[in-house]
Amino acid sequence: MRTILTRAALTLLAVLAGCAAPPYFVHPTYDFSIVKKVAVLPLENLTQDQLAGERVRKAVIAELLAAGVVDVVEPGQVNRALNQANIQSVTAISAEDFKKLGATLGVQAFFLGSLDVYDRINVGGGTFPDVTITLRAVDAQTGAIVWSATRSGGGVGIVGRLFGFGGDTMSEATQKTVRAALATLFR
Amino acid sequence: MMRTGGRGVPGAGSLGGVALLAAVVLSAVSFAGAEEPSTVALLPFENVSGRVQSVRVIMPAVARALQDRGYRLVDPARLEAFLARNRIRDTGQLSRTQAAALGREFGVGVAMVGSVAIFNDSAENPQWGLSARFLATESGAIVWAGSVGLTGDDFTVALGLGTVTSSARLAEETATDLLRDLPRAGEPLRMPTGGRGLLPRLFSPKASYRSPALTSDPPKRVAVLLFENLSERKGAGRIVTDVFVTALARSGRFDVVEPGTVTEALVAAGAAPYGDIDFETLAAVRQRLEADAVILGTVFNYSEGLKRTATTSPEVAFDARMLDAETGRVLWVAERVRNGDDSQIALHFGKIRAVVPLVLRVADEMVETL
Repeated sequence: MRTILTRAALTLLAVLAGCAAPPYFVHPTYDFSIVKKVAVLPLENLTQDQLAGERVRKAVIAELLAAGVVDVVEPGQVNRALNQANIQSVTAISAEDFKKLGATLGVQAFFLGSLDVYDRINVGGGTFPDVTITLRAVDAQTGAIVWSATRSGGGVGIVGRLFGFGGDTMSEATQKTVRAALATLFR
Repeated sequence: MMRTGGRGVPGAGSLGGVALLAAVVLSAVSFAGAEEPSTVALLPFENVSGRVQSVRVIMPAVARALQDRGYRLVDPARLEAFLARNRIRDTGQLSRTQAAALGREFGVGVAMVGSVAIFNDSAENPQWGLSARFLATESGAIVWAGSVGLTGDDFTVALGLGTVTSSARLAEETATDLLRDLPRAGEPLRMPTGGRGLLPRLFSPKASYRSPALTSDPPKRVAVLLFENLSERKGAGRIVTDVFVTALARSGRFDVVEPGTVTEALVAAGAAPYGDIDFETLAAVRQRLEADAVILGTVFNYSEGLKRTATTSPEVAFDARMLDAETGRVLWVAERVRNGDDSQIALHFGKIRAVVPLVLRVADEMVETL
């Protein structure tokens, strides 16, 4: 009897885990009120579309500004600071580099991440956007990750499945996905 | 379409020989250096179409359209000599210094610059796309701007009737359409405003971000930098920049710096920002242009819809953002992806067939959110 109950509990747990909201992390003790100005670094682009990374980076900047909580440094100034610091890849920035860049740009945190999926899928004779992003915020002083979220967007609804039209454009899907990810931070 | 070439001073015909003599005298005076508001220095349009012959075909049509509106033109041979002497190669834009020199040389108050965005010389469905600006030679300020594009199919009424298949005829129609709202010679030059109707504005997407500072302390003088081109179409950045300048100038809300003056300031500052800008360059732009804000942008997709295997509708995707020239803060961000079919209502009504009107539509939508 105990074995049956244990198995049932484990099965229920597995089902609930599968139904849970996509994962995100918010540092439990970090004081987000000190963050007034942030910089968005170029995103790691894991898709076939070479331009997608920069598009989504711009969308992240726009959504951060739209949230009305923080100021965002112009990406040109960020790129210049990265060049001056001789940082070739955003995937290999040390805590010391974050500190120096933070001082140069006058920011308290950095936003970076990866674009995992940026494509159009064919369903029912129509094409629909499919976007997945992973974003994280890093404290400029310590280099510690203080927030992280993964979100997917786009896809196809019932109308799309039945009739092959409807749904979001690529930019709408991107905007909504980025907004959903940032909502886990600003809620 | 029949056109009368080389029309002189408006109303002179009724006075016969005396008027003709007067016209000759007036013409002589204008070349001697006196200011004549009805005389225009028409610079050869910059060719961004990728077709070598496009300027050769369109310029006579633009000249005739200007003459039809009562303007007289500076002698092209003398103008060419002036351009060569002053080493002005990019005739699609004019700096303040160059405009002033042009005004002094020919005694003209205005110069017209422009660019050919597209020339599709196809009997099936020809297409033209143009952007042009009138500049006051004294100040280098933009006093009128227009962007236009037509395809042969735009003239089709029913059952395939009316379609224009001649690119030469379409050139005449496009040039006339370009100058449709240009005040006639002698009338005060003013920027036509109005934009889109209330209903389209209401249902138009909002900006991705709009700073409250745009309402409390809006910038007055705005410089538009060359848009970064990440599309496959060579020159798309320049085309979208020209059309965006048209939309911004026609909004009537800003004093838009002529792109030629922007280029001159950037060359003097030794900078070439492309898609983004660092604060050092921004400060130089602010100082040299006295601009309150700068607009930057990126073209992600620019398809003229000419590849029959892919699509027959034009498609564009670009973003733009405005920065405060003093603080570097982002004031406004907007992004749009549009297809010529997006505005289609039923059958072919509402469909945008030519790429330049589509870019103008998108730019108008964006500027409205400013």
